[in-house]
Amino acid sequence: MSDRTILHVDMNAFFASVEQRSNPYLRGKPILVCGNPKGRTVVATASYEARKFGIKTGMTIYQAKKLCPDAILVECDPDKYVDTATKLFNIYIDFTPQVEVFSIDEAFLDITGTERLFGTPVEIAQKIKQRIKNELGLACSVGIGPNKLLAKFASESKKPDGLTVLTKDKVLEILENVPISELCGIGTKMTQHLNKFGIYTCGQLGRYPFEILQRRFGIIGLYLHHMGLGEDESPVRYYYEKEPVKSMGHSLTLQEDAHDKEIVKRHLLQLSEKVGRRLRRENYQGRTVTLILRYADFETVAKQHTLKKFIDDGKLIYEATLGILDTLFIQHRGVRLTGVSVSNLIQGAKQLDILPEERRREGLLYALDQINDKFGEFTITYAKLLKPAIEGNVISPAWRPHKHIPGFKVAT
Amino acid sequence: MVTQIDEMIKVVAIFGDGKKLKPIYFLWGNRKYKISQITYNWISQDGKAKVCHFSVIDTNDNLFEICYNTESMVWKLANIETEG
Repeated sequence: MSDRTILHVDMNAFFASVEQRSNPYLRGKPILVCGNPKGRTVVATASYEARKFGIKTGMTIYQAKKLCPDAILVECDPDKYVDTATKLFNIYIDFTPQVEVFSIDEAFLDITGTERLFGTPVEIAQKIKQRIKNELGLACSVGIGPNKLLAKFASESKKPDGLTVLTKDKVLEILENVPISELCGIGTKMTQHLNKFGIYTCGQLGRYPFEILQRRFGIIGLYLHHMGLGEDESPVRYYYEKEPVKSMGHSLTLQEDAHDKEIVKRHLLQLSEKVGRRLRRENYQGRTVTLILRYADFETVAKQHTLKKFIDDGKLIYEATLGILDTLFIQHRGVRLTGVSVSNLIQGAKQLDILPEERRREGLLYALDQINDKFGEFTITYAKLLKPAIEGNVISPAWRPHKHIPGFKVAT
Repeated sequence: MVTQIDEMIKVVAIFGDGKKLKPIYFLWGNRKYKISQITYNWISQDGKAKVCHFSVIDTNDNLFEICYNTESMVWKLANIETEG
């Protein structure tokens, strides 16, 4: 691949910064964005003022409050963050069509060949930072590198409000003593595996004979070798390219551990309905249903069942999960989290139903979807779910923006 | 602390060019609240309807969230930020 210029834009303490923009009285204060503070929740994002006390994402509120008793809890507002992320995306695509949204607060931009239109890579990064500041009042860190791996590494190196350039000629020198865990894609488990080989730094990883890595890790071994050298050939997707979908699922932590099977079943019904809705909306059907349970002691188990036919009906997904639940549910252990996913997917290949009752069910689902599309999710649903087991809204990790969001802007 | 209100309100707003919308003041409980600053705005989806949310500060430095449903054309006071 020829020389490329990749930008990685990382919003700083995204949810907390949005809340501080929205509520000026929170500015300059330690705030913790979390789920419903009355229920069981963890820190989703801490403001920089709270991070000074050592508070990190994923901590329980109890742990966080111990470190900073004055921290203010702010209940997360997913709609606010999704809309802001969509506005960010609309800024990015003014500079290049190669925009790959990595998560709600991170994106890669391939700006190769746009210099004549917008200036040098540093000028482009500054323009993007400036627009984000002016239009949304938010700060971000931008990393510029010859590939996605290094652009992300660069953006991580200066926060908040950073702009870091990593050029090809300095890569090996800079990476030499960097711990492998700082590279995107090398998690805790992989770090432990590599440590067993005596590999602790990127320099050591790059020099390690890749034949041995390949023998131990398969195709991943070759990627690891390239990562150690700061090489990454993966392209930045065009914003209109859809990522291949392998599965669709939802999971949720219960407000309190459930020892009653009926409570778990109610959660499963709601999750199954959500998965069914998503499958039908995106014209997918799946054959393998997976049930995930996390017990109160944090042990997580997952089991799947493959059906004879492809389905997209929440009721059928639910029935499949019940069969699995009987083999996994242990009353005295209590259930902390439930998850339902459907994999083995096909798109746009729905067969016409032959049996009259199946056709009736199909018609019913169509009518239900129309009503819920018009009036909102779960407007019409099972009586069992009239008081939903799960309140509120969450942002799916698979969330991706759409190019234009029709609506209003604020007049100035 | 955020106190949820969820009550209909009367709003004077400017609908400008290019789908621009700017609330100027609102009436709630026989009182007029003049908006001095819009601190943030965002859009959410409620079924087919789009709901435009505005975080606003009035001239007495109180913070409110008001929202406009584009389908029902109703303005609501969603919540108020209060001390405590």
